[in-house]
Amino acid sequence: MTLVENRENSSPHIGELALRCYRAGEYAPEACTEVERHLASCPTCRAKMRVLVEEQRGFEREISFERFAGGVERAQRVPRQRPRRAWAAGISGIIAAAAVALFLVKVSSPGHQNRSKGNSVEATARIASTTAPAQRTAPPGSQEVLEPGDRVRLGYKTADARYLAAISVDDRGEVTPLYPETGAALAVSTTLETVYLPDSLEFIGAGRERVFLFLARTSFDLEAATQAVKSAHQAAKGDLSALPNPAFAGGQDVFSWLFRKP
Amino acid sequence: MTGRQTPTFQVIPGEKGLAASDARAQLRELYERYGASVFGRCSYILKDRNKAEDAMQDVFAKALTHLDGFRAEASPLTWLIKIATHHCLNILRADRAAWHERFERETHARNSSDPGPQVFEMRELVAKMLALVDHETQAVAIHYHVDEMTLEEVAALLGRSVPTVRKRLGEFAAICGREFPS
Repeated sequence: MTLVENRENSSPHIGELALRCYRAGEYAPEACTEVERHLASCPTCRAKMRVLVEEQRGFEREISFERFAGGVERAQRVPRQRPRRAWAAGISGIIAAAAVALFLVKVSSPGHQNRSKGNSVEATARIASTTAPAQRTAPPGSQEVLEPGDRVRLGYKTADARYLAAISVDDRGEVTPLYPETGAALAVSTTLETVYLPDSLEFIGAGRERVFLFLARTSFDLEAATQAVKSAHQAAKGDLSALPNPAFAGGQDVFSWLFRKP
Repeated sequence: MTGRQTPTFQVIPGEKGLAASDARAQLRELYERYGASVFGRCSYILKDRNKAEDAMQDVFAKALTHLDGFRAEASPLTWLIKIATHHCLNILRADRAAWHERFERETHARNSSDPGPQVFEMRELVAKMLALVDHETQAVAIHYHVDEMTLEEVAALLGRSVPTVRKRLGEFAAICGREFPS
C-alpha cells in the first residue's frame, strides 16, 4: 500500500493525517517524493495542503509561541483537575453499604409495561464491557450482573412523539435522575431506528440498581417521576426485584432493568 | 501505510539539568510542527476555542511528561492526535452541564440527517453524531472519517482488530442513517 490510494482503494487522494505528517516532516525521502509527485498532479490534495499550511499560520497568529509555551509549562506543573465521568461521580455518593451475596433473583414485577397498541414504543439497554469485545443487549425486564468497568447505554424507539426520562434507584432507596437530571422530561420525536441516549452509565459501588425509562405521551416533570419511584421503593419495602412500575400522570410506557453492580 | 522514517524530531528529556533554552527550543518545535493540528483536533471536538486551547496545552504537557513513549513513536503527530482525540472526548463526556442543550442539538441533527437534499460535509456530520455513540466508536469515526486513516491504521492506533474497527464504523453508519464505506 502506498501513501496514495491508501483508503481501501476507494479514493485516489492522500489522507488528511498523512498530509499533516508530510507537512510535519515525518516522512522518509522516498515517501516525500511520492507525496510531492501526487501533489503536483492533484489539485484536490494541493488545495488541502494549502489549507493545512494556512491553518498553521492562522494558529500562530491566534496563539503566540509565548502563550503556547507558558500554557504547556503550566499544564505540566499543575495538571488540570477534570471531573470524573459524570455518572460515576454522581453515583459515588450512593454506594451501597452492604455487600450482597451474588444474586439471581426474578424480577417479580413486569419490567416492561407498554400500554400502547401495536408496540409503538420500545426500549433497550446495551452493555459494553472492558473485557469482552462484543457488547451485549439487555432487554427490558432483564437483570444483569455488571463487571467493573461495564458501561450501560439506554436506547429507545418510538412511533410517535414522546417525553422521556430515565431514573434509577438503589437498594437503599436513593433515587437518581439520569436523563435529564432536572426539570421537565425530554421531548423526543419519532424514530425509525433505536436511538441511544448520550453518554454511557457506569455503575460503581456495590449492591443493585433498578433503572426505569419512562416514555410518556404528555410532558411531565422529573420531580413527579422521582417521587413515583420513591413511592414504589417504599411499597416494595426496598426490594428492588419486587418494585412495581412507578405510576404517575402522563400515560407513560415504563421499561426497567435490574443491575447488580460490581 | 509505508514510507515513514524515524522522525527527525527528538524530544530531549526534561530532567533536571535541561537548560531552559533547550526546553524552549523543544517547545517551539512542537509548536511549529504540530500546534495547528492538535489545536484543530481539540477545537473540532470541543467547539470552544478556550477549552480547546486548554486541552491542547494538556496534550503537549502529556507529550513532554511521557517522553519515552513519545520518542518511541514512529509518528509523533499520529500519537498526539490520538491523545488529543481521547482527551477531548473525555472532556466532552465529563461536561454534563449543557446536557439538555446537547441532547436537543443531537436530536435536531439526527432529524436533519434523514435522507434528503441536504448534504453534510463528512467531518460536520461526524461531529454532529459523536455524542450518539460510545467512546471507542467516537474515536474510530474521527480517525477514519476526519483523519482519513485506513481501517488498518485506525486498528493499529487504537489497538483493535480491523474487524472491530469495521464493526464500529458500521454501527456509526447505522446511527447516522447513511451509508459509510465498510
